[in-house]
Amino acid sequence: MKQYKNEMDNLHWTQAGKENLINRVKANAQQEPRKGHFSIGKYVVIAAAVCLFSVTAYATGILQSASDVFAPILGGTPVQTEIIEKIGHPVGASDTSDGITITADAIIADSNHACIVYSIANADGSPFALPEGVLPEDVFFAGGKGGTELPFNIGGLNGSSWIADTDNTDGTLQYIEMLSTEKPLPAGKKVTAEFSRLSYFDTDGKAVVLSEGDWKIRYELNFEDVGVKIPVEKEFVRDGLTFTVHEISLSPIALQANYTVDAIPEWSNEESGQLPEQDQKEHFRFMDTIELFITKTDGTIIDLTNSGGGLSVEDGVTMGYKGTVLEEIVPLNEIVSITVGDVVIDVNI
Amino acid sequence: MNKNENLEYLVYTYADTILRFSYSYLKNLQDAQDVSQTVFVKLLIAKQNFKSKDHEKAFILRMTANVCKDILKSSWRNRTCTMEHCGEIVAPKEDDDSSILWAVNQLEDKYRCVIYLHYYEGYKAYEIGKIIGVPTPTIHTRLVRGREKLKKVLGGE
Repeated sequence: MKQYKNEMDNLHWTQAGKENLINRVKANAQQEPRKGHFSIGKYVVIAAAVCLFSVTAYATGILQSASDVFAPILGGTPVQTEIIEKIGHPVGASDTSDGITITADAIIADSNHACIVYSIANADGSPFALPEGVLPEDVFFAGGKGGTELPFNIGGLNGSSWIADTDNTDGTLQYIEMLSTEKPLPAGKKVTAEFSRLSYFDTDGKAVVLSEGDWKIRYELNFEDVGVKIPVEKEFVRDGLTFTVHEISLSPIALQANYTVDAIPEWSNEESGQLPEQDQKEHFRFMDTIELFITKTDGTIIDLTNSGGGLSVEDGVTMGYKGTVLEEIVPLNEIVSITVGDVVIDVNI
Repeated sequence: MNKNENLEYLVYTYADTILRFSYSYLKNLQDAQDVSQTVFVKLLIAKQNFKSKDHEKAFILRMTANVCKDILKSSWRNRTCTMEHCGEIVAPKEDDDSSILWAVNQLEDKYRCVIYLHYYEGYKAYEIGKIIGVPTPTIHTRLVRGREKLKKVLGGE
């Protein structure tokens, strides 16, 4: 896709074109009537947000409605018993503000990744007032608080959150939060989830406030690790470099591959600014170029090649890892294989 | 930043991005130019404040997607280039069948726009879903199928 990028780079406005565009926009804007939307100034989220962490005072145990709770991110597949038994359930993890109740319903996690499911419900059970053309997935928290917070030293932390519900008729929306931490999650510790200003993007992409509410939920983080580690020790050669895949960390919510390379990246050593071209090239050779796929039993391939990762050098060997939190739960018994570069690892769990 | 300075900032920062994304969506350079103008007019009127550059860019791409959808739904499509607008953009040859861009343009619009957002802009599936208003699993499917179709167009298996 490098050629695609290069070709697309060749499509651009000229300097004169941009100047003309500015003049046309000024002229047109003066003629355009103002719309009556309430425009808010601060909000969130579309992309991977830097997440805080928190959540859950679960007692782990059997969850009869696990399929319902995780339905938005299960892709219609039933939940494995092994997963059900490891799902954590918050106890009394709920708060009501402005007639809307947010409840932390469940968490599924491995050592470094968590998927938390919340429900957002109108107290009177009525559907949320979304205009025609606006979908439940357009709803978000605009107040700068939209998830969980980890007050502990857990190193790097990132993640994302979104409304996964497609049905706005039952008065409840399901909100998913996926988190990834550098150090292990602080199991058993008390954490807090905060939310504010429930809003939606209208069909013009403008944020409109649904509720000015503030919600705060505090409880203990309890879960059972649903992950497995699969030793690999297989090699492949790419662009003159020999990659050795050592281990896969796999769970229904995350995948990470650990590997080494028999060469050292030639970094540019530039101090700041955008990633220099030389460093981009080296990242591409040592990490970005490595395909990362999950192949499911139904033939579906989940392409995670664009996942993030890291590179470090020790004793003349480059150590790399590459992986991501999945965007939907994938039961391990539905995974046939994992592909890392040219290495295909059969999964039989 | 006053209104005019803000407009200049937006145009110099995002004009190429909007042009490329709307071209990926509509496969028509003149429509893409019109979409750019429409988006900037909307931005100028909306006076949005953004939490971050990432948020700003995602918002603008989302707005662009909505304008493109409106154009696709309408019966009117701009097929000609007026003299005053010709020469305002530099574009690769559209009929060069050895180019990847040509190959991508042979795909349906639903594949073209996710390929652009994923492979050019580097967005993940759930981010693309938010931008174009489609569930994340559908984006995964479109990316996989789009790649498969692209391979076929390029003469692969």
